[in-house]
Amino acid sequence: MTAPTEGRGRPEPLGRAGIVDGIRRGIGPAAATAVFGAGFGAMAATAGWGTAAPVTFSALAFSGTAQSMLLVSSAAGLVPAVAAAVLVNVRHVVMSIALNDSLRGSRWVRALHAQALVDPSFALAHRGNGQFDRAVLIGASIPQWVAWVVGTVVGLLVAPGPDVIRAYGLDVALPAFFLLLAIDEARRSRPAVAAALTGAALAAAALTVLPASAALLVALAGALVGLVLRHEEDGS
Amino acid sequence: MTTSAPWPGIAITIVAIAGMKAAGPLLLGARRLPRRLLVVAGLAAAALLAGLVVVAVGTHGPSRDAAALVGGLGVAGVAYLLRVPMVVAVAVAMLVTALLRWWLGVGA
Repeated sequence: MTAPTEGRGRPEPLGRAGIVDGIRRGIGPAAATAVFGAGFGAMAATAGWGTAAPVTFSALAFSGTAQSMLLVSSAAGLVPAVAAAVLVNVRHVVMSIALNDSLRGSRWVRALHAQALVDPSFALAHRGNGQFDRAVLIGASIPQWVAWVVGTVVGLLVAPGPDVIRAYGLDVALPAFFLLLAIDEARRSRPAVAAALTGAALAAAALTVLPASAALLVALAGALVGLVLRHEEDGS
Repeated sequence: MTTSAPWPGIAITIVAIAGMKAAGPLLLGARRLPRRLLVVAGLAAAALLAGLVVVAVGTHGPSRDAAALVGGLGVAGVAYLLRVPMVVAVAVAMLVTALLRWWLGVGA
Protein backbone atom coordinates (compact mmCIF):
# COMPACT_ATOMS: atom_id res chain seq x y z
CA MET A 1 0.00 0.00 0.00
CA THR A 2 1.18 3.49 -0.71
CA ALA A 3 0.98 6.25 1.83
CA PRO A 4 -2.49 7.71 2.18
CA THR A 5 -3.02 10.68 -0.09
CA GLU A 6 -3.24 13.71 2.12
CA GLY A 7 -3.53 16.39 -0.56
CA ARG A 8 -6.82 18.12 -1.18
CA GLY A 9 -7.57 18.78 -4.81
CA ARG A 10 -6.06 15.44 -5.83
CA PRO A 11 -9.15 13.50 -6.83
CA GLU A 12 -8.87 9.86 -5.90
CA PRO A 13 -11.49 7.61 -7.48
CA LEU A 14 -14.60 6.86 -5.49
CA GLY A 15 -14.35 3.36 -4.07
CA ARG A 16 -16.77 1.01 -5.81
CA ALA A 17 -17.02 -1.12 -2.66
CA GLY A 18 -18.01 1.93 -0.61
CA ILE A 19 -20.73 2.89 -3.10
CA VAL A 20 -22.12 -0.66 -3.11
CA ASP A 21 -22.00 -0.74 0.70
CA GLY A 22 -23.81 2.60 0.79
CA ILE A 23 -26.49 1.40 -1.65
CA ARG A 24 -27.06 -1.69 0.51
CA ARG A 25 -27.38 0.34 3.70
CA GLY A 26 -29.53 2.97 2.01
CA ILE A 27 -32.25 0.50 1.00
CA GLY A 28 -33.91 0.44 4.45
CA PRO A 29 -34.26 4.23 4.76
CA ALA A 30 -35.27 4.26 1.06
CA ALA A 31 -38.34 2.15 1.84
CA ALA A 32 -39.40 4.75 4.42
CA THR A 33 -38.55 7.56 1.98
CA ALA A 34 -40.85 6.01 -0.64
CA VAL A 35 -43.77 6.26 1.78
CA PHE A 36 -42.90 9.89 2.57
CA GLY A 37 -42.63 10.52 -1.19
CA ALA A 38 -46.07 9.03 -1.75
CA GLY A 39 -47.39 11.38 0.92
CA PHE A 40 -45.84 14.36 -0.89
CA GLY A 41 -47.21 13.19 -4.23
CA ALA A 42 -50.68 12.80 -2.75
CA MET A 43 -50.54 16.31 -1.26
CA ALA A 44 -49.33 17.75 -4.58
CA ALA A 45 -52.19 16.03 -6.41
CA THR A 46 -54.68 17.51 -3.95
CA ALA A 47 -53.13 20.97 -4.41
CA GLY A 48 -53.58 20.72 -8.17
CA TRP A 49 -49.90 20.89 -9.04
CA GLY A 50 -50.28 18.57 -12.03
CA THR A 51 -47.67 15.90 -12.70
CA ALA A 52 -44.59 17.57 -14.17
CA ALA A 53 -44.02 20.04 -11.34
CA PRO A 54 -44.01 17.61 -8.37
CA VAL A 55 -41.90 15.01 -10.22
CA THR A 56 -39.37 17.64 -11.38
CA PHE A 57 -39.30 19.06 -7.86
CA SER A 58 -38.62 15.64 -6.30
CA ALA A 59 -35.97 14.72 -8.86
CA LEU A 60 -34.00 17.96 -8.53
CA ALA A 61 -34.64 19.12 -4.96
CA PHE A 62 -34.65 15.66 -3.26
CA SER A 63 -35.80 17.18 0.02
CA GLY A 64 -38.98 16.03 1.69
CA THR A 65 -39.06 18.76 4.29
CA ALA A 66 -38.39 21.67 1.89
CA GLN A 67 -40.78 20.37 -0.76
CA SER A 68 -43.58 19.76 1.73
CA MET A 69 -43.02 23.20 3.22
CA LEU A 70 -43.23 24.94 -0.18
CA LEU A 71 -46.39 22.95 -0.92
CA VAL A 72 -48.23 23.87 2.26
CA SER A 73 -47.06 27.50 2.34
CA SER A 74 -47.31 28.40 -1.36
CA ALA A 75 -50.70 30.03 -0.73
CA ALA A 76 -48.85 32.64 1.36
CA GLY A 77 -47.06 33.99 -1.72
CA LEU A 78 -43.73 33.38 -3.46
CA VAL A 79 -41.32 35.01 -1.02
CA PRO A 80 -42.74 33.65 2.27
CA ALA A 81 -43.15 30.17 0.75
CA VAL A 82 -39.59 29.99 -0.59
CA ALA A 83 -38.22 31.46 2.64
CA ALA A 84 -40.03 28.76 4.65
CA ALA A 85 -38.84 26.00 2.30
CA VAL A 86 -35.22 27.18 2.58
CA LEU A 87 -35.32 27.73 6.33
CA VAL A 88 -36.46 24.16 7.03
CA ASN A 89 -33.20 22.98 5.49
CA VAL A 90 -30.72 25.44 6.97
CA ARG A 91 -29.31 22.52 8.98
CA HIS A 92 -27.81 21.26 5.70
CA VAL A 93 -25.43 24.23 5.72
CA VAL A 94 -24.05 23.07 9.07
CA MET A 95 -23.94 19.43 7.92
CA SER A 96 -22.19 20.41 4.67
CA ILE A 97 -19.52 22.23 6.65
CA ALA A 98 -19.10 19.12 8.81
CA LEU A 99 -18.73 17.00 5.65
CA ASN A 100 -16.22 19.20 3.87
CA ASP A 101 -13.07 17.71 5.42
CA SER A 102 -14.09 14.23 4.28
CA LEU A 103 -14.75 15.17 0.65
CA ARG A 104 -12.02 15.02 -1.99
CA GLY A 105 -11.28 16.69 -5.29
CA SER A 106 -11.67 20.28 -6.42
CA ARG A 107 -14.06 22.66 -4.70
CA TRP A 108 -16.67 22.03 -7.42
CA VAL A 109 -16.29 18.25 -7.34
CA ARG A 110 -16.76 18.34 -3.58
CA ALA A 111 -19.78 20.64 -3.98
CA LEU A 112 -21.21 18.12 -6.44
CA HIS A 113 -20.61 15.16 -4.12
CA ALA A 114 -22.22 17.13 -1.28
CA GLN A 115 -25.48 17.08 -3.26
CA ALA A 116 -25.89 13.51 -1.93
CA LEU A 117 -26.44 15.04 1.52
CA VAL A 118 -29.70 13.88 3.09
CA ASP A 119 -30.25 13.16 6.78
CA PRO A 120 -30.08 9.31 6.73
CA SER A 121 -27.01 9.26 4.43
CA PHE A 122 -25.23 11.79 6.63
CA ALA A 123 -25.65 9.39 9.56
CA LEU A 124 -24.84 6.22 7.58
CA ALA A 125 -21.65 7.76 6.16
CA HIS A 126 -20.38 8.86 9.56
CA ARG A 127 -17.30 6.86 10.53
CA GLY A 128 -16.73 8.52 13.88
CA ASN A 129 -14.41 11.36 14.87
CA GLY A 130 -16.15 13.69 12.44
CA GLN A 131 -14.94 11.68 9.44
CA PHE A 132 -17.42 10.70 6.76
CA ASP A 133 -17.17 8.11 3.98
CA ARG A 134 -18.13 10.01 0.82
CA ALA A 135 -18.67 6.79 -1.19
CA VAL A 136 -21.15 5.54 1.42
CA LEU A 137 -22.79 8.99 1.45
CA ILE A 138 -23.33 8.89 -2.31
CA GLY A 139 -24.20 5.19 -2.42
CA ALA A 140 -26.78 5.44 0.37
CA SER A 141 -28.49 8.37 -1.36
CA ILE A 142 -28.96 6.49 -4.65
CA PRO A 143 -31.77 4.12 -3.52
CA GLN A 144 -33.30 6.94 -1.46
CA TRP A 145 -33.38 9.25 -4.48
CA VAL A 146 -35.01 6.57 -6.64
CA ALA A 147 -37.50 5.79 -3.86
CA TRP A 148 -38.28 9.49 -3.40
CA VAL A 149 -39.04 10.08 -7.10
CA VAL A 150 -40.92 6.79 -7.57
CA GLY A 151 -42.82 7.41 -4.32
CA THR A 152 -43.84 10.86 -5.59
CA VAL A 153 -45.17 9.36 -8.84
CA VAL A 154 -47.06 6.62 -6.96
CA GLY A 155 -48.52 9.23 -4.62
CA LEU A 156 -49.69 11.32 -7.59
CA LEU A 157 -51.32 8.30 -9.21
CA VAL A 158 -52.80 6.54 -6.19
CA ALA A 159 -53.20 9.52 -3.85
CA PRO A 160 -53.54 7.48 -0.63
CA GLY A 161 -55.37 9.50 2.01
CA PRO A 162 -53.61 10.40 5.24
CA ASP A 163 -56.02 8.04 7.02
CA VAL A 164 -54.70 5.03 5.09
CA ILE A 165 -51.07 6.01 5.77
CA ARG A 166 -51.78 6.42 9.49
CA ALA A 167 -53.90 3.30 9.91
CA TYR A 168 -51.01 1.11 8.75
CA GLY A 169 -48.39 3.09 10.66
CA LEU A 170 -46.58 3.91 7.40
CA ASP A 171 -45.75 7.40 8.66
CA VAL A 172 -43.79 5.84 11.53
CA ALA A 173 -41.11 4.28 9.30
CA LEU A 174 -39.05 7.44 8.90
CA PRO A 175 -38.93 8.51 12.60
CA ALA A 176 -38.21 4.86 13.47
CA PHE A 177 -35.17 4.88 11.17
CA PHE A 178 -34.02 8.16 12.71
CA LEU A 179 -34.30 6.61 16.18
CA LEU A 180 -32.31 3.50 15.21
CA LEU A 181 -29.65 5.58 13.49
CA ALA A 182 -29.48 7.74 16.63
CA ILE A 183 -28.90 4.58 18.68
CA ASP A 184 -26.10 3.60 16.27
CA GLU A 185 -24.50 7.01 16.77
CA ALA A 186 -24.93 6.85 20.56
CA ARG A 187 -23.13 3.49 20.61
CA ARG A 188 -19.99 5.15 19.27
CA SER A 189 -18.97 7.08 22.37
CA ARG A 190 -20.13 8.76 25.57
CA PRO A 191 -19.96 12.25 24.00
CA ALA A 192 -22.30 10.94 21.28
CA VAL A 193 -24.78 9.85 23.96
CA ALA A 194 -24.49 13.29 25.55
CA ALA A 195 -24.95 15.00 22.16
CA ALA A 196 -28.05 12.90 21.38
CA LEU A 197 -29.64 13.56 24.78
CA THR A 198 -28.81 17.27 24.60
CA GLY A 199 -30.12 17.48 21.03
CA ALA A 200 -33.36 15.77 22.08
CA ALA A 201 -33.80 18.07 25.09
CA LEU A 202 -33.03 21.19 23.04
CA ALA A 203 -35.48 20.13 20.31
CA ALA A 204 -38.21 19.45 22.89
CA ALA A 205 -37.67 22.83 24.53
CA ALA A 206 -37.49 24.65 21.19
CA LEU A 207 -40.69 23.00 19.95
CA THR A 208 -42.69 24.80 22.63
CA VAL A 209 -41.93 28.17 21.02
CA LEU A 210 -40.53 27.49 17.54
CA PRO A 211 -41.66 25.61 14.40
CA ALA A 212 -40.29 22.11 13.79
CA SER A 213 -37.65 23.23 11.29
CA ALA A 214 -36.15 25.73 13.71
CA ALA A 215 -36.26 23.14 16.48
CA LEU A 216 -34.09 20.86 14.32
CA LEU A 217 -31.50 23.58 13.92
CA VAL A 218 -31.54 24.11 17.68
CA ALA A 219 -31.13 20.34 18.16
CA LEU A 220 -27.91 20.46 16.12
CA ALA A 221 -26.49 22.69 18.87
CA GLY A 222 -26.47 19.52 21.00
CA ALA A 223 -23.22 18.69 19.19
CA LEU A 224 -21.61 21.62 21.03
CA VAL A 225 -21.29 19.35 24.10
CA GLY A 226 -18.17 18.20 22.24
CA LEU A 227 -16.55 21.49 23.23
CA VAL A 228 -16.94 20.82 26.95
CA LEU A 229 -16.67 17.01 27.13
CA ARG A 230 -13.39 15.18 26.90
CA HIS A 231 -13.41 13.31 23.61
CA GLU A 232 -13.07 9.56 23.97
CA GLU A 233 -14.13 8.12 20.66
CA ASP A 234 -13.80 4.34 20.52
CA GLY A 235 -12.49 4.46 16.99
CA SER A 236 -9.75 1.93 17.61
CA MET B 1 -57.95 19.87 -12.70
CA THR B 2 -55.96 22.93 -13.67
CA THR B 3 -52.27 22.96 -12.97
CA SER B 4 -51.37 25.74 -10.57
CA ALA B 5 -47.87 24.68 -9.63
CA PRO B 6 -45.71 27.62 -8.44
CA TRP B 7 -42.88 27.00 -10.91
CA PRO B 8 -40.79 30.07 -9.89
CA GLY B 9 -40.92 29.00 -6.24
CA ILE B 10 -40.00 25.44 -7.18
CA ALA B 11 -37.04 26.62 -9.27
CA ILE B 12 -35.70 28.98 -6.59
CA THR B 13 -36.07 26.30 -3.91
CA ILE B 14 -34.16 23.75 -6.03
CA VAL B 15 -31.27 26.20 -6.51
CA ALA B 16 -31.27 27.24 -2.83
CA ILE B 17 -31.19 23.62 -1.60
CA ALA B 18 -28.30 22.78 -3.91
CA GLY B 19 -26.48 25.86 -2.64
CA MET B 20 -26.96 24.91 1.01
CA LYS B 21 -25.71 21.37 0.41
CA ALA B 22 -22.67 22.79 -1.36
CA ALA B 23 -22.08 25.41 1.34
CA GLY B 24 -19.23 23.53 3.09
CA PRO B 25 -16.99 23.10 0.00
CA LEU B 26 -17.91 26.49 -1.45
CA LEU B 27 -17.37 28.48 1.77
CA LEU B 28 -14.42 26.62 3.25
CA GLY B 29 -12.60 25.51 0.10
CA ALA B 30 -9.58 23.42 1.09
CA ARG B 31 -9.40 24.86 4.61
CA ARG B 32 -9.74 22.23 7.29
CA LEU B 33 -11.87 22.54 10.37
CA PRO B 34 -9.99 23.16 13.62
CA ARG B 35 -9.71 20.04 15.77
CA ARG B 36 -12.32 21.22 18.28
CA LEU B 37 -14.87 21.97 15.56
CA LEU B 38 -14.19 18.57 14.00
CA VAL B 39 -15.20 16.99 17.32
CA VAL B 40 -18.43 18.98 17.18
CA ALA B 41 -18.97 17.91 13.55
CA GLY B 42 -18.60 14.30 14.66
CA LEU B 43 -21.43 14.71 17.15
CA ALA B 44 -23.76 16.51 14.72
CA ALA B 45 -25.37 13.30 13.44
CA ALA B 46 -26.28 12.12 16.96
CA ALA B 47 -27.77 15.49 17.93
CA LEU B 48 -29.66 15.85 14.64
CA LEU B 49 -31.13 12.33 14.66
CA ALA B 50 -32.31 12.66 18.26
CA GLY B 51 -33.85 16.01 17.35
CA LEU B 52 -35.64 14.48 14.34
CA VAL B 53 -37.23 11.84 16.59
CA VAL B 54 -38.34 14.43 19.16
CA VAL B 55 -39.78 16.68 16.45
CA ALA B 56 -41.65 13.75 14.87
CA VAL B 57 -43.29 13.01 18.24
CA GLY B 58 -43.56 16.60 19.47
CA THR B 59 -45.44 17.98 16.47
CA HIS B 60 -48.39 15.79 17.57
CA GLY B 61 -48.57 17.68 20.88
CA PRO B 62 -49.59 15.87 24.06
CA SER B 63 -52.18 13.47 22.68
CA ARG B 64 -53.12 9.82 22.40
CA ASP B 65 -51.67 9.94 18.91
CA ALA B 66 -48.29 10.98 20.29
CA ALA B 67 -48.59 8.27 22.94
CA ALA B 68 -49.12 5.64 20.23
CA LEU B 69 -46.06 6.91 18.36
CA VAL B 70 -43.92 6.93 21.50
CA GLY B 71 -45.07 3.39 22.25
CA GLY B 72 -44.17 2.14 18.78
CA LEU B 73 -40.81 3.90 18.72
CA GLY B 74 -40.03 2.76 22.28
CA VAL B 75 -40.63 -0.91 21.53
CA ALA B 76 -38.58 -0.62 18.32
CA GLY B 77 -35.75 1.12 20.17
CA VAL B 78 -35.60 -1.57 22.86
CA ALA B 79 -35.74 -4.28 20.19
CA TYR B 80 -32.85 -2.66 18.33
CA LEU B 81 -30.81 -2.37 21.53
CA LEU B 82 -31.37 -6.12 21.92
CA ARG B 83 -29.75 -6.57 18.48
CA VAL B 84 -32.92 -7.10 16.46
CA PRO B 85 -32.09 -6.21 12.78
CA MET B 86 -32.89 -2.64 11.72
CA VAL B 87 -35.56 -3.46 9.14
CA VAL B 88 -37.36 -5.76 11.61
CA ALA B 89 -37.24 -3.06 14.30
CA VAL B 90 -38.81 -0.54 11.90
CA ALA B 91 -41.56 -3.03 11.04
CA VAL B 92 -42.14 -3.50 14.79
CA ALA B 93 -42.45 0.30 15.22
CA MET B 94 -45.06 0.47 12.45
CA LEU B 95 -47.02 -2.51 13.75
CA VAL B 96 -47.05 -1.44 17.40
CA THR B 97 -47.99 2.16 16.52
CA ALA B 98 -50.80 0.97 14.23
CA LEU B 99 -52.14 -1.36 16.93
CA LEU B 100 -51.91 1.35 19.61
CA ARG B 101 -53.71 3.83 17.35
CA TRP B 102 -56.48 1.31 16.78
CA TRP B 103 -56.68 0.46 20.50
CA LEU B 104 -56.66 4.13 21.57
CA GLY B 105 -59.21 5.02 18.92
CA VAL B 106 -56.96 7.42 17.02
CA GLY B 107 -56.54 5.28 13.89
CA ALA B 108 -58.13 6.10 10.59
